[in-house]
Amino acid sequence: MDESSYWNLPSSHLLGSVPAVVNEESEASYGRRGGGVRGYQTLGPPSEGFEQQSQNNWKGVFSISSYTQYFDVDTDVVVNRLISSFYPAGGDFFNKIGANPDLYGLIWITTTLVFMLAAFGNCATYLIQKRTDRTTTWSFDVGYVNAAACGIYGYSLVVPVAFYFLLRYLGSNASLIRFWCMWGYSLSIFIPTAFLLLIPVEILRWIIILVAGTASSCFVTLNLTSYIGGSNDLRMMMIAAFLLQMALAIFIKVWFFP
Amino acid sequence: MHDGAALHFEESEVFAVAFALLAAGAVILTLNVLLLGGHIIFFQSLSLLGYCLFPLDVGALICMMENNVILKMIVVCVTLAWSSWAAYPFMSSAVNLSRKALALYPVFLMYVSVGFLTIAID
Repeated sequence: MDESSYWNLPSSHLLGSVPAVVNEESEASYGRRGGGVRGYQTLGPPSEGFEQQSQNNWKGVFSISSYTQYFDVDTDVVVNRLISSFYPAGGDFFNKIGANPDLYGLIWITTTLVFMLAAFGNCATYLIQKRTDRTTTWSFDVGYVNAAACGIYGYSLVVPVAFYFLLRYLGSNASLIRFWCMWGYSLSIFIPTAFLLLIPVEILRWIIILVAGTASSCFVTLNLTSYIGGSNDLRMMMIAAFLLQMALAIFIKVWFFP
Repeated sequence: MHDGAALHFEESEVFAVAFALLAAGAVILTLNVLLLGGHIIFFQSLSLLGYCLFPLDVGALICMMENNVILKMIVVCVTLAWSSWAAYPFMSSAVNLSRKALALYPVFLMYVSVGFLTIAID
């Protein structure tokens, strides 16, 4: 189908209905592996898209098709990676990713975590204030959303970049996409933790956050070690990764669930 | 930690959060479908997600006139289910069957956060 027919799609039969695409085009496209190109971007001939990808210049930054390779996962793959991120033992996450790291996990786990922290943080603050002072009324602190977004997005974007550059400088191979993927999935354990931290018993909250923080930090450290190959110079890196993740856990507890 | 006067509740900040959530959310949800290899027309998706927000609008109006938290929760749950049910056929037909949940979860997340804002702000 050449691009001129893009402009003359028969559409009178579509009045009042909401299909995503015209029927014959969708059936033809689902079979093709590279069907993502058809979504929404260049209106030029298809061969131009392939040339763009092989040229490796800045033109590829603004077209969707150059990023679909990082989202090439199915539901069961994502669920599998999520479940494996809950068990810190066994540093085989990078093997599990294989040649197919995904940024879907990073984006939506961090977004979910931001929402959970803002929502449950407010609820938990109210509950614990209610215990000490019977007359407090509910008030929603919008600053929690701000703090959650800056903290979680900032951490999950900046820390992998920092490790990537450091490890590159020290000579070992590192892949930024894989680091982003791993750190993104490492945050997934904080989502049920945020729900559990609603319990207004202070000592229990500390136990919960320390357990979750340790699990998450062990996940990050073990996987980083097995990916880089443990050598003595890089031990400082591993300790730094562990401490940073623990610091994030403590920050979550102190700021959102005081 | 927070200083003493930090529990603030500024209307302009709440508006900013709600507006940013909905505007950026619609764009990001459409991009999400496109990145997962789905077939969707950008502005059609934006307008459809906007229209599917209507039940939550109705719910927010009702909640504005109510004071009972339990009733608010029920209203928000009903309208949330209604909005999600409205957006479901469109979103699920736009992607491969094996990625349906990946495309639908962010829609649900956005509507849940709008619903939560409805209950939380009074």
